[in-house]
Amino acid sequence: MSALLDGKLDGLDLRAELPRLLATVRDAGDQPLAVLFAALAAKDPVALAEVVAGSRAPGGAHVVRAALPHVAVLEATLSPRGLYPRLFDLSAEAASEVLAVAAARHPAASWLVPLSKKAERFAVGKTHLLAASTHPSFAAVCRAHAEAGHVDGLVCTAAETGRAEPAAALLGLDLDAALRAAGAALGRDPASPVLAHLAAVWGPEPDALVVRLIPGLRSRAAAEALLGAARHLPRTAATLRAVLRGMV
Amino acid sequence: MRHAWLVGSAGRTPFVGHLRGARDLGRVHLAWACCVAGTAGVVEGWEAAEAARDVFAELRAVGDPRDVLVAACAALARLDSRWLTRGDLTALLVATDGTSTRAAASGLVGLHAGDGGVFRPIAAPGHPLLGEPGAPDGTSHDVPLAEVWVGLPAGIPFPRRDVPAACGVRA
Repeated sequence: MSALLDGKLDGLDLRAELPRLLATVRDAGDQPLAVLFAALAAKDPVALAEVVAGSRAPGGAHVVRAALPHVAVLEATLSPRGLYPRLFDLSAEAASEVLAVAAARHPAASWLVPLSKKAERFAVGKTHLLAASTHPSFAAVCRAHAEAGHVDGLVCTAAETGRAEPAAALLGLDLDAALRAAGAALGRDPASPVLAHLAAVWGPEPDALVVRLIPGLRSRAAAEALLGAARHLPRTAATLRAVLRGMV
Repeated sequence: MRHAWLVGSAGRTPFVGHLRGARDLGRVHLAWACCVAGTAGVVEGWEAAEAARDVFAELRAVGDPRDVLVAACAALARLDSRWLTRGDLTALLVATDGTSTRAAASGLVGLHAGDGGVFRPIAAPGHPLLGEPGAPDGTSHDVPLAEVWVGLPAGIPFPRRDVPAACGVRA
């Protein structure tokens, strides 16, 4: 293993040695890069940024994975909006890891929406949405993904979190998807405030809307919870009572 | 059935805390549109609207339109004090018995009447039905009979087109 890979950087002018650093990383194969990157992060973050995300960075999943523990240092050199898409482009099969780190660190970032589209083949947006689900920006993130057409990601997020915001975000764009998301949220958490979120977007008389999500309910608990919240929704309440009689 | 509508706010969740309804109380037809806790979050707004729906569901026939409005406003004044003390209540209530049509309101900067999809203002600036938000005090005023009355809360322009959609009225 080379001295550089051992993190022995003392006495080196790292900017002048950049070509050698790049070559060492490019030729490292499967050799660990963690020690070198930790040393670079401590001594010269700009050199680290050049090596992992610069215009001549060799890239590859091995390099990007070794860089991810140092994203806080890299963000001091490169804006997140520039850093993560660049890491993503260089990441090969580590793309989902880049997206996950970016989403965890910047849940409110709008640039994660197009990045999600590039990174996720199924349930596009789900990684970002799940990361944002405990952040104050969650409703806005849901709207951004809804406007980008990331329906499955929103429905999956509703199913995994029980949150009602995905349904509300879809409501003005794709009614059927909104109802699926609402049903999924209630399936995960029967106490989910789905009615509140739907009514806030739909209007003060949501009965005709809410009654349409009943066929998508998959659990008695969800149906009972919705009935409990529907005391001023006569069509919904009547339909739920009939449905509950046939539910085990 | 005659209706009261309230224009929704700007933004992605225009109907936080909104409720609307109409019912007959003896000879009097009462229509209402309110926004309770509209400045609160979505969930608190829904809870507040549900509490106000309870209020209207519990009203009983008490006499003429003026009496019905006094009773309805008194009931609204018993809503949770956190919504009243911060003035987070906009309301339009219209009662008619065919010979008399009266309204009580709070938090409105404009009031329109609509017939056949045509809306016309019926309260000029300074009209006593226009004023600060909060529980209406029960004072009512004559308004023209109409198919629908549309209240305009502060800070919102009257919609130039598709008034029903701006009020959350869905086909």
